[in-house]
Amino acid sequence: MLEHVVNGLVLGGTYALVAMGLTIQYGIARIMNLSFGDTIIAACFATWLMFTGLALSPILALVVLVPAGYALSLVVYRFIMKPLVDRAPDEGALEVDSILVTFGLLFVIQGVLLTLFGGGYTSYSYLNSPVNVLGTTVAANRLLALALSLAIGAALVVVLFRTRWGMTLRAVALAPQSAPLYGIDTNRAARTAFAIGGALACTGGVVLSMFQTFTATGGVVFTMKALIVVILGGKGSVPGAIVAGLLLGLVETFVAAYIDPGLTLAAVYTVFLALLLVRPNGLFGKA
Amino acid sequence: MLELSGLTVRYGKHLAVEGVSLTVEKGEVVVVLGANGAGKSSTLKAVAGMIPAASGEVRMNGARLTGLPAHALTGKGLALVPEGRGIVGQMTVEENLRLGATPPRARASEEETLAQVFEIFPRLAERRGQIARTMSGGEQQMVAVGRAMMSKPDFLLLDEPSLGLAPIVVGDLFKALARVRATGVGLLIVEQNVKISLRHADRGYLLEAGRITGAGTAEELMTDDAVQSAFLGGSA
Repeated sequence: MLEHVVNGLVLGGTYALVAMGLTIQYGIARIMNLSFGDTIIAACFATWLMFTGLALSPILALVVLVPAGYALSLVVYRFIMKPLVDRAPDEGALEVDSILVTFGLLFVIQGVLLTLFGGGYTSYSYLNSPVNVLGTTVAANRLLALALSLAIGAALVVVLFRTRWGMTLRAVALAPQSAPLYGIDTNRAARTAFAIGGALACTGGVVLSMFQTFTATGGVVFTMKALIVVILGGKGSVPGAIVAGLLLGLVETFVAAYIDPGLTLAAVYTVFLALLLVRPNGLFGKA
Repeated sequence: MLELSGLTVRYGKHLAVEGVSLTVEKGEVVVVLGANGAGKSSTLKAVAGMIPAASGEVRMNGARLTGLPAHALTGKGLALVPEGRGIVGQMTVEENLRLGATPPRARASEEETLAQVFEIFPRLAERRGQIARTMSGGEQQMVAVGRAMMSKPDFLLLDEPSLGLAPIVVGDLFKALARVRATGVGLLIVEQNVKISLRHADRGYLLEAGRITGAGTAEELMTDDAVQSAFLGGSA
C-alpha cells in the first residue's frame, strides 16, 4: 500500500512538473504548445549526451539546459509565435493558430532527434541504488526526481503568489483585457511566460531522463499527459497542475497495482471525464 | 493639462466619435454627458489607448500620447477606470491595489498611496483580504478607482462610474471622487447620470452622435435648456 503511494507520488510529481510549464504557456501566453513533449525529449537526449559523453551529472545538465531552454523559447516566440500573436484578431484565433504551428514544430523537433539519435530506446544509469522509504524500497534517482519536482513546484508557487512579478503574470492569465490598464505590458508577459514554460519543459526532460527510458518519438505521450493535467487542474493554474499531476500519478499506480496495469489509461480518462463533469473549468479553474 | 483635439474614432465605416476636442486641467473635474451610443466610451477608450484613433491627437502636459499602447499610457500618468470596472476579480482587494502600482513612477510611493486609498475608501481597508469579485458593485467600483489611484495618475478617466449602482452608493462614490480630485488629479468622467455628475463637476461637455454639441460650467449646464430637454425629460 505505502509502496504504491510512494511510487504514485514519484510518477505524479513528474506529471506535475511537466504540466506546470504547459499550463503557464497556455494560461498566460495563450499558446497551446503541442511540441511541448518533444522539447522534453530533446532535453532528455541533451542530458544523456552530457552524461555519457562528458560525464556531467544531470544536476549540472540542469544548470546548462534550463537557461538554454529559456533562451531558445524566446527565439521561438520571437520568430514563430509573435507573428501569430500580432495577426490574431482574438484569443480563440491565437489558440487555433498556435495549435497548428506547434503541431508542425513537433515534427521538426522529432525529425531532428530521429536523425541525430535514431529511433531506439535510450537510458543511462544515475543514482540507481535502492533507498528504504517507510519500509519500501525506491530507487534513489526516483526520490531525487520527486524532490526536484516538488521543490520547483513550490518555488514557482511562491514566485507567482508572493512576488510582484508573479502577481503581474497571474493578472495577465486571469484578466488579459484589464492588465494593460494596470500598466502591465501583456506582450512582454506572454513572451516571458512562454520562455518560462520552455525552461520548465527542459527541467522536466532532465528529471525524467534520470529514471526513465525515452525515444525520439515519445514526446506526444508527455504532451497528452500534460494536457490532461493542465485541463484537470484548471487552465493557467500552477497549484492546479501540481494537485492534478499528483492525483493522476496516484490513480495510475493504484489502478495498475490493484486492478490491471492495462487499465491505467482508461482509469486516467475516467477520472478526467468525471472531474470535468463536476468542475468543467478544472480543479482550480476560473468560473 | 489633458487635451483632446479633433479626436475621431471609426469602427469600419461607422464613425463613432467625430472631431472631439476638449481639455481638462489638473485638479479639475470635467464631465462628458451623452446618451447611450453617443460615443462616450469610444472617446475614453481611444484616449487611454485601448482602441486606435482614426485621426486627431491627445496631449498630456504638452506631450503627444496618440498611438501609445494602453500600458505605456498608464505608465505616463493617465489611468482609465473602464465600464465594467476592469479589476482582476479573482485576486484580493490588496493584490488589485498593489498591482495598480505597477508603473515605475508609482513604485516609490506605493505605501503612501495605499494609505491614501484606504483613507478615502475605509471599506477597502476592512476588506483588503477579500476576493474582489465577491464584493458588491459599489465596493468593486471602489477597488477600480483605488487601483487607478495606485498608478499615481495626473489624469483619471472614468467610464460611467455610476452604472448599475444604487443612488446612495453613487452619492458616496462621487464624494470620494471629490477627495481624489483634491489630491491634484484631473478627472474626466463620462456619464448619463446628469444630476449627480454635474453637482460634482467644474465643467461639462455635451456629446451627441459622436460630436460635441455644447459646453459650459456645471452651473450653466444644469440650467441649460438643451441639457434639460435631452437628459432630464424637459420638465425639470
